[in-house]
Amino acid sequence: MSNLFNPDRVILATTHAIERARAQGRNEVEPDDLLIGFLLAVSRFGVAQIGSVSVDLVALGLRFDLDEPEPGVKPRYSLRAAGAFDRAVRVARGDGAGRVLPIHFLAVLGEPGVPTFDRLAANHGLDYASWRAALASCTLPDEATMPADAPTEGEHAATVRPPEDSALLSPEEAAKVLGMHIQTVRGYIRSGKLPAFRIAGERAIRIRRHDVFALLEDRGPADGVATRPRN
Amino acid sequence: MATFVAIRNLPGITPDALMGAGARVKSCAAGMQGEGTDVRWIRSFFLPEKSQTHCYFEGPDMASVKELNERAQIPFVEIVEVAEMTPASI
Repeated sequence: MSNLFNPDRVILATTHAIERARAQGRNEVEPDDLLIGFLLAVSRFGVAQIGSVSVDLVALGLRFDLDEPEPGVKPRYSLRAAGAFDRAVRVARGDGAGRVLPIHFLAVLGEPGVPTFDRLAANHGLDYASWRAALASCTLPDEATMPADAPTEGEHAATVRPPEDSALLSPEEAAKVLGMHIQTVRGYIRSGKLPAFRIAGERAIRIRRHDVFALLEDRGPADGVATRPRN
Repeated sequence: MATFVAIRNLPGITPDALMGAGARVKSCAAGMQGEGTDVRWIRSFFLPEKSQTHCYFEGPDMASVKELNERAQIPFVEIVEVAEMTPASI
């Protein structure tokens, strides 16, 4: 999964932002700290790949290490930084995502007046619109749009062996039974084509086995290639 | 570790702003844990008819919970210590 869509990277990014403010002895975490935190959190080898835009963090003058924090400094979010969280949530909702992801923060933090974005925009010949366009070109994985039961990294279909007598199946097990990709099954659930249920108070989704088999139409001998009308 | 509740009056709060506040408090708790203060946000309940939110935290003392809320820029009316009671505990 791209780090742009990795929810675990949100805490990594915000922690870096807070640490950065502490290291500089500032009492407020600013949007610039957050933008730097998110660029670092989504980067690999010092490069944040945002669609077709390769942001070299070293060229931006960003450092991966931080100075020792000033003792006694306990920075809070500035009002502007706090507002960025609310806007990122709005963007995530508009994006159909079940949770706020690094890409949503990058969409709201990359705006004129944020010093690091101004430098980034100048280096790459970007403006706010083209920055968002670069982000928009990154495809949101289906699992990020699912509020629940997203498979963990490393989990794969080969490990799923539904018991034959189970009346309820997980989406992964249903995909295995149907011989389809898990994302296709998730799409069926989202569209209502395949009824699914959430276990009360839990994130897990379960599908009735007979609903899975109901997807299998009996096409009958008359529906074969040989009986198809000729043009 | 003790449990505390932060009571907030948030008239006109939107669902997005509630989620944004949740993301801030989560990130600030992680920051404070990194600084050595083991304070955690446990859960929150929103009372729509009263526009009030009750947010539950675990922490070493009230001061750390207060600091967490201030750093996350989330206003509160008061923070008080609570004693937990569940059906299983009776």
